Amino acid sequence: MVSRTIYTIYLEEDAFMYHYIGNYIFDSERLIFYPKDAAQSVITEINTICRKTDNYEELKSCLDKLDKTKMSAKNKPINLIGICLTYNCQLRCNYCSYSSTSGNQDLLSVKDILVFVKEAIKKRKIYQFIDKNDDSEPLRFFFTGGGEPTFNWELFKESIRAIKNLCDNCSVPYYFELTTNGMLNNSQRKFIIKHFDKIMLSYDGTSFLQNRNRKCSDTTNSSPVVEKTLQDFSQSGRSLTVRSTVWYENFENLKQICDNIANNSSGINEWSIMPIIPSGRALKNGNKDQYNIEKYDFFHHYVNLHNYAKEKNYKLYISTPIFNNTIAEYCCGATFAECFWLMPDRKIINCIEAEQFKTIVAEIKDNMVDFYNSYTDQHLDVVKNSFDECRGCIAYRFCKGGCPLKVVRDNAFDTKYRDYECQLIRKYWSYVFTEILCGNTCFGWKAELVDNVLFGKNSVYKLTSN
Amino acid sequence: MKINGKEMILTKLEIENIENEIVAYDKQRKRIISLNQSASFIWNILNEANEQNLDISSQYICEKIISTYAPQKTNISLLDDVNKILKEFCCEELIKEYV
Repeated sequence: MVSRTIYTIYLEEDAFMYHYIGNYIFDSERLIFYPKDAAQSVITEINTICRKTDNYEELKSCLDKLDKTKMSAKNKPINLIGICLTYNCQLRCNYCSYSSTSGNQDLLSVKDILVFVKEAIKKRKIYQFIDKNDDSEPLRFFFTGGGEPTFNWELFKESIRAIKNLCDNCSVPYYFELTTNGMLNNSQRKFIIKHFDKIMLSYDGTSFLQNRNRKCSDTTNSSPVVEKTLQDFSQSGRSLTVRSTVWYENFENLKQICDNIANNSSGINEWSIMPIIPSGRALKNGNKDQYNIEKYDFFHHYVNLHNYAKEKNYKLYISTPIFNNTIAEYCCGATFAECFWLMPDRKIINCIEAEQFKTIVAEIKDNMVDFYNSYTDQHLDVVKNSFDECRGCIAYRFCKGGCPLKVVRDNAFDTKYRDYECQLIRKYWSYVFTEILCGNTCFGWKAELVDNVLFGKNSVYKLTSN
Repeated sequence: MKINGKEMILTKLEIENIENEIVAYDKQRKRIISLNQSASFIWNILNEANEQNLDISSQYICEKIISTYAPQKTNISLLDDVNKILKEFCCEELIKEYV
């Protein structure tokens, strides 16, 4: 006898928003779970009582209003200032997305930086007049690459001092973040510890991997210097994240790296793992087979790693940018120009990850910030398409299609990275939902019972963060 | 306060000084005004004169600018530029003739 698929009765409308998790259905629009054999009348009650939380129409209408050829960042507030001082670097990492060397001539000046910061402060004051905003919220400065921010040390040092001086004069509170390769001497480390609130140190987890992946320009090993930096930073009391970039064949080494990081540095707040993305040198040095999920399942290794760290009782927060662990409205902050990056050529772009696919929104010209009246956002079509096309995915509420660069890069380089990452993300959320429906908390999520007599014996749960 | 012999009123503004440049909010007309360095300098002179109820002239403003920025140069003429900025202040109704 063929069993009747009763689900088709009540899943006709918007059926693609519903996903089976064991004996439950996950309703993506409401972020709830209910038994898959619940009667239609109960489901109607559930849908009435548990309102949709996805704001789909509203968010879509905001996206639809955007014309990719008539974008402008002119009237946007500036709350986060990214500064990329140089494209140059002391290291020759075999996956560097910018393929950095030390011969690039573009270099920002302190004057350029101050012009940009002054503009940001002006805008901040204007928005405070308009919105009566809380002026205690710090203006955030994010120094990263491109190249290595500390490559030209004097410029780096003077920039920090000059920005702080300007902010102090204008009574603007600030927060400084840095991503560094850790190729620093003692006095440089001290300066960074003194001036930065949050530090991300790139270190690939063991001396062997560090020296193989992140060689100095003269081919010497970088691990002795970087490990000393790691030690100093971890003892500094500053918020410290260690970022390890991992080649696919080294997923097997993640537990070993975890041991090394957890046992040697107690002051690390977060260990962030980044699998290789097809860009720059990684594209040249990688092979296309690496995006084969059967062979290189990052999700599987990531979950095992978490369980391993738990067993070992490591007090280390492990994360990865691959799995966005929050509910998202849109896939990409660059679409609405939420962060501005001042690049070494004095152009201001809306995404630091974009490299050759960057969108320029303004530039420093004649000691002024010239915000373009209109620019073309080459990635907006991808964002809009994903917003609709991905709606049926189990991960939609957390991903919204993900970074548009995945599609752009796949098209340009004939890679299959997006499919690979999508599979990982779907696996991740299926796993999270299965775990929380078993009563566990998982990656900060749990299932909370929605108590309502109208649901009868049907247990309805809503997804909540722990 | 008189400017060039005429009784004038300054519009009340909420002011933020950012490294010698003014960003101001005109609450009454609900508008934001951003002044460049020169305009900001002149606005501050007008404001100071207003607070002390002083009578000033374009020539007085020129002398103030020169004494601040180029005290060794006495033969430069800024009068046209100063008058232009004062005219712009009037056009934008930042200063108004008292009637």
